[in-house]
Amino acid sequence: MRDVLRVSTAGSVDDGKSTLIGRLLYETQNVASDQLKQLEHKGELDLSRLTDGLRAEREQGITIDVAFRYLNTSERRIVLADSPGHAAYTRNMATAASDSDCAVILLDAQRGIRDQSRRHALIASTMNTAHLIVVVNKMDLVDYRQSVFQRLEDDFGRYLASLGKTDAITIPVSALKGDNVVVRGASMGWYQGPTLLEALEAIPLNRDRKTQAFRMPVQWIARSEGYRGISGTVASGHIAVGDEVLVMPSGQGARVASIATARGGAERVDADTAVTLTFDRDLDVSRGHLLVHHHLPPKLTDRLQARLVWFHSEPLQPGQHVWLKSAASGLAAIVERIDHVLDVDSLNTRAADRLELNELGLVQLKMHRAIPIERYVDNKTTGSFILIDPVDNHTLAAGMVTDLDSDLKSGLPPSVTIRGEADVTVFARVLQALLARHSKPALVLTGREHPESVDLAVRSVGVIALWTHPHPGDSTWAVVFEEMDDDQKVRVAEGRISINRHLVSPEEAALIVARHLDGGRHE
Amino acid sequence: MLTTSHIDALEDEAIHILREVAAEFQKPVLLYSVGKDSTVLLHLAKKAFAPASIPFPLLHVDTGYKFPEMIAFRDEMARQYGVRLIVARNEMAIEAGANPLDLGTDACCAQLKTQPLLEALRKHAFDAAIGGARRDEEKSRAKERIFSFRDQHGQWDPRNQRPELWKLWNSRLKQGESVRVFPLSNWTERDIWQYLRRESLPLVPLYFAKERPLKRVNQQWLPLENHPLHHRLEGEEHWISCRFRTLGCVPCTAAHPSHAANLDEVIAEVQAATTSERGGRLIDQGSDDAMERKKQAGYF
Ligand SMILES: Nc1nc2c(ncn2[C@@H]2O[C@H](COP(=O)(O)OP(=O)(O)O)[C@@H](O)[C@H]2O)c(=O)[nH]1
Ligand SMILES: [Mg+2]
Repeated sequence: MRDVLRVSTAGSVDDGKSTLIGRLLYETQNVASDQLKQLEHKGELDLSRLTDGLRAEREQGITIDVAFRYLNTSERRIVLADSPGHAAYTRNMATAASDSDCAVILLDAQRGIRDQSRRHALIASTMNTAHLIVVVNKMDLVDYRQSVFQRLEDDFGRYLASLGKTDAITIPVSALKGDNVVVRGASMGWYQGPTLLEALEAIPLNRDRKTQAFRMPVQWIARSEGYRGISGTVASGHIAVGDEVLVMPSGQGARVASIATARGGAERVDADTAVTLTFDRDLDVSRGHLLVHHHLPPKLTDRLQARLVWFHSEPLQPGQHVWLKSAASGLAAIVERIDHVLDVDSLNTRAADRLELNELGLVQLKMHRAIPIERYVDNKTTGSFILIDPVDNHTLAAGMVTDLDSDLKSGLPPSVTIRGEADVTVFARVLQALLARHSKPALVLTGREHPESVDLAVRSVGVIALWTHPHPGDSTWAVVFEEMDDDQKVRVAEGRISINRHLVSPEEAALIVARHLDGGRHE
Repeated sequence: MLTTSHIDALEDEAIHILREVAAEFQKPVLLYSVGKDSTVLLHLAKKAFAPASIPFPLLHVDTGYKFPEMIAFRDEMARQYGVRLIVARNEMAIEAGANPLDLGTDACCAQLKTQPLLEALRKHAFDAAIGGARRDEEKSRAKERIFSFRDQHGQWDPRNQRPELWKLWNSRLKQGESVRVFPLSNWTERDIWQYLRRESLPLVPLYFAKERPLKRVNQQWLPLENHPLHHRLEGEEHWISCRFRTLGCVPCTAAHPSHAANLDEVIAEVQAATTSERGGRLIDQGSDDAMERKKQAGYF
């Protein structure tokens, strides 16, 4: 068990991120008394000074860079990354979001939703942050009125739904006074949900990475007389003595003979464990190779499509040469094309011949040689990369693979679940966003019966749609998928089975899925 | 109380970082400061590369004001772990009698620590210096990257740090540039103590309570043993049971009254502590941003 939860906070300047984190630390007794003394400012306790550690930050009263803070609760260690809200520091915000299990997005009850709130939600969703908590702060400034909270929850909820995020929790708080941060307080009796701390403690950890296929980028070869071990950190899945693995890209196979960890030898280890493996035969393997489970290798490709968050003041232009660094490889690449740039507000995409600082875009990359790489939605470790300027070494962009070479196209379409009675416009926006961001059709599950937008999308772009009659929450697909055994799931995930049917009833959907699982063939 | 399973996660993260440094840089070095964090770091380095030996040397910056117990412990650890030890000293400044009482702590640190550190890094052409700093120590440290880029002059620009995404560190450098790497970034003081106990690691005896002669100066208890300028400290001498929470130079390290004489007692004390450990470091108290300015100039 690894009880570390990584949380990034995001929001617009002055929404109260730093104050909120200060409040969390203070009320969980994670602030030392001599540090408290330093927080006194004009006779009052200024909790924001706990995280604003740089001189320029205190002078200007804003957060410039990510500050990391540690919170011990009785349940777990929480690592908080407080990131800047200012547009000019979006790259630092992306830094904080990339490795987080949960993003806390702040809204100011009085000022409402701002560009930065939307930008941060978009980045958290782009980075595939598993959990979102929306905190409506400064409730004290609006007399703790439920109506103000309700309106913001609805408005922002709509925006999140258009990003495909429908399971965010929204919490009304006053970071300044403390209500609903750690202690519930008496001011908002109308709110029945969890406090922020309760919500953070309830988040499940790393479930997905444990169930994914085994991946381990080779970091280092440990050599000592008569000994040769392969060192690295298990990125996803698990590995056991006796398992058969493949070395990518060579395709050579071997069985695990022993597993050494920092805590001694082990028979089996999970994701995130640093290990040194030995094998039953000599392997031609070095840093830059990827170890994978023999029956689930990733594709090798020298071409991919990826979403980028651009970090540099010089805009990206098609034809630009870059250095691509992924978990397993570092190599030269060229950005062949910018497919589109995403508008943060409307989530509309537009064609562009450059990608500017802090913009999000979809690009086509051609690499110097073929490497094992996967889609980011399938595996965060093997599906992510950074781009580096080969001349001045600046980090140019964060990249998330959306698709491999079109010839190799496969895999389960991105899916989104819409629960409840989402209206047609929301529905249309979700589809639009999905289509804009994935070149591949979407699998859509919905509680509604016949939104015309789905019909249209299905006919015009071949969206795969499965939905249930009014049984929101327990959609057929989810149920069917749950009932599959691991091998079947694997085949679906690999794209060896795809379900190309359009409008079906739950019964039909179940039949189609069952048929294809049995046959394992494409329709 | 808190579960300790997060210690395993921190341990694996640190090992991952240490392996990245060894693989990605030409000539790394581990900055060994003899304190408890350095001891944890050295131990993690051993685990990261076992059964092979640690693939980089240790560098200790000796200001001439270190406690003799620290020097003895340092040499013993280097021997036990089988690593080469490089000692950097600014002999000229030491000979000239540089001291914090006359120069002030900032200027003294610049001459006795930052200068010989940068000099040694340059002389040996080290391109990555691994340190035991933690983000929970001090507020400008909370802003530090795990791979912290330094320009040709060893300086830190906090407003222009390289973004760190996932676990993908940009380790590309130009001639003369370097990085400082902090594998213990996400550890807290409590984690360090719990780990020291779990792994039964040795420590400099100064961390444990004992009666020592002290003087009360500016609301701090200053040690008199081995203090080169103790005659210049005002006030009365007291013998008090005390220990040190962090170890630095004798004139700049305050003791704190304590009866914690073994690891378990120290851990109990740290769990209950309401002051942060750097409260006992005089050098951090020059001004509100003393540490930030020193770091910009190339200090660790
Ligand atoms: N009234 C009120 N003011 C708040 C609250 N939270 C933060 N503030 C104030 O809002 C300002 C900005 O807060 P800060 O934490 O620095 O915001 P950041 O830029 O998001 O980190 C400060 O003056 C805070 O005191 C709150 O819940 N209620
Ligand atoms: Mg702030």
